[in-house]
Amino acid sequence: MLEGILIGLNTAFTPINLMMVLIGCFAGTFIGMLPGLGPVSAIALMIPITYGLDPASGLILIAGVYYGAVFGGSTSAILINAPGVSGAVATAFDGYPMAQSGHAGKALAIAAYSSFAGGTIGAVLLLLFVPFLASISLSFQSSEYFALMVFGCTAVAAFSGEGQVIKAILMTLVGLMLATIGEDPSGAQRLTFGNPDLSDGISFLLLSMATFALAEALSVVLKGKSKSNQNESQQLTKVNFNSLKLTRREVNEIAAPVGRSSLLGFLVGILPGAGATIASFLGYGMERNLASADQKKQFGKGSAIGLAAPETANNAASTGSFVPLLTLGIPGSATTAIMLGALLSYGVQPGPRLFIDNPTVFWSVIVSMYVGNIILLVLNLPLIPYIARLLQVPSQFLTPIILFLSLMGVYLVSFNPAELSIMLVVGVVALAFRILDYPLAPMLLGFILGGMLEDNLRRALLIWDGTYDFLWQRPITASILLVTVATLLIPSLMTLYKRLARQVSQ
Amino acid sequence: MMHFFDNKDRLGAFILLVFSLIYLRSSMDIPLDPFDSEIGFTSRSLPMFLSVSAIFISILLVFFSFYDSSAKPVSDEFSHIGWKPMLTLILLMAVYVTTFNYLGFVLASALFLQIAFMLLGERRLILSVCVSLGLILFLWFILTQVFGLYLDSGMLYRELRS
Repeated sequence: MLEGILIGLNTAFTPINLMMVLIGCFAGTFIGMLPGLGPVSAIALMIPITYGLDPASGLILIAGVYYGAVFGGSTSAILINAPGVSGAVATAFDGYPMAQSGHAGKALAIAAYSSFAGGTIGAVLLLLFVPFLASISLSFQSSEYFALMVFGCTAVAAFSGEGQVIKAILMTLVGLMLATIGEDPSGAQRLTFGNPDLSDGISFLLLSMATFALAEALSVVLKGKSKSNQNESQQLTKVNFNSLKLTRREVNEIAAPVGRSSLLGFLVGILPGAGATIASFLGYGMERNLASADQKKQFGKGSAIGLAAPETANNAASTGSFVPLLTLGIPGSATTAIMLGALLSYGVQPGPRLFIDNPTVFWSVIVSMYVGNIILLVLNLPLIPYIARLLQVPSQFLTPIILFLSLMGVYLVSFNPAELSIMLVVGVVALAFRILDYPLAPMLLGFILGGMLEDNLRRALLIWDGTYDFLWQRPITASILLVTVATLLIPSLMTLYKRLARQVSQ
Repeated sequence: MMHFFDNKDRLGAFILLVFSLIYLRSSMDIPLDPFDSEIGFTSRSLPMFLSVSAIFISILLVFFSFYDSSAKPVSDEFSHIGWKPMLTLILLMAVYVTTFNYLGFVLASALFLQIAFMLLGERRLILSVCVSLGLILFLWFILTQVFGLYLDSGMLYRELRS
């Protein structure tokens, strides 16, 4: 492992890669601060730029954008009560009241230090977990991978919240269906309708840009956020940043919650589909329950613990979500799904063999995550008052520029104007489903996992002479599939139980 | 009929049901590889399984939508103030995409940005022209002169030059 860390340090500390982390953190912070645009859009907008880089530098840039966007989301939650990402909603509960009471600088500092601690503890746990899990999963065969892909597809659906599970499963199926367009593993053209632009299938970049960056920018226009943007700009001019320093008493107060929330966040982050949002709410809830009566009264009014806990858990979960991606090749969230897509387009296959076949990519990403955390703390935090001013750029300028950059991002990779037309159609359809409250992340996940799912199923069938016996005769495959069924059934049964209980009580 | 579709879950499920039916019909036309039949899994197998599953789940969702009171009516969305600018912006993007080859990167993109700024309420003409033209020329310079990428100058430019 030490050798691996040295490889990672060597790669991450080259001038070009340090610059990538720096650019990524700044760009991510800015995009993450814009209400409506989260880490997924930030990463989608950055992917075309990374195509010109080597895989390690590309992923380092993306990891920087990810951390920056998470940090940016928390900043707008604290300063203007507008969480840029769902994972920062719990941050606003105490962060915004603290900023309103004239301690914006302190609130940002607590958020940054907690994020740093969560990220650091998460990175250490990642260093320990990933090689261990990867070595176990080295014994996996195609049938296990097939089962893992099925699990990856269903886990996101299962965690999508009450009333959304069936819709999420349906959207995952749509993603899988879109993944079958183009040339199949045997070389046959499927569902291309004779259109040569579809023979290579729908591009991952096109789909992610259209469903997230384009559709999100359009929904900002639809919701008429230009007026609220002006209010936010006015609010920002009134924010008093004061000192970024914390007192010893405050540090002592948040130390234990930060430790607990880091561990909780990381473990929640590992679960595919659970992610930063659930982790931040769990962290907040746990600390409120553990707090003394006096501390409890402060929650919701600017409590340092109430701000530190969700921020720590959120960041530790972001790090934890890399575990299934790097060890098993299955993404745990929409963000890691986009990263998986990016890895595949660089020709890098994530999974247990990644740290054997591409140790440079593997270790440099892990090390650069830590470097990203340091940069956010050392550079971004003091500069936040100035970066926040960028939020004052009117949305009538920002929205068209985001739309233009999304379209250009796809064009500059393919140089095919026909892809722009497809992108526009996909973007409008994605917007329609966004309006109808259908989740788009499961669709993207299904699309990314679809190809690998079919490849592994075909290979397993070849090994097992065309029979499906591997589904129950391979113990690991059967166990993963059982966990998949349980993951799918438990939330549905819980919902049913709650409804029945409600009816009985009425 | 309008009342039938005035439910977000139902309308979405119905659209996906139609999509899945078209997908299923198209899956039946996928050419078969003779070697695939040896493993009992052909190029059609997964698409057909997926479309049948999606059809089943969409029907289930349409059915549940009659009993689930939490689904919001679609008509609620029409109360939003941004329909007109959003639809105009989509139309503008469609025009941008279709005229891209003819007008070329610089002209098409600068016009797109300028009109989009004005559509979203920007009234300061000199400022918006400076932003749109400045951004496009900056990008053009970076992409063509620094990264050496080829950006189409457009048929109009070539016609004018010839």
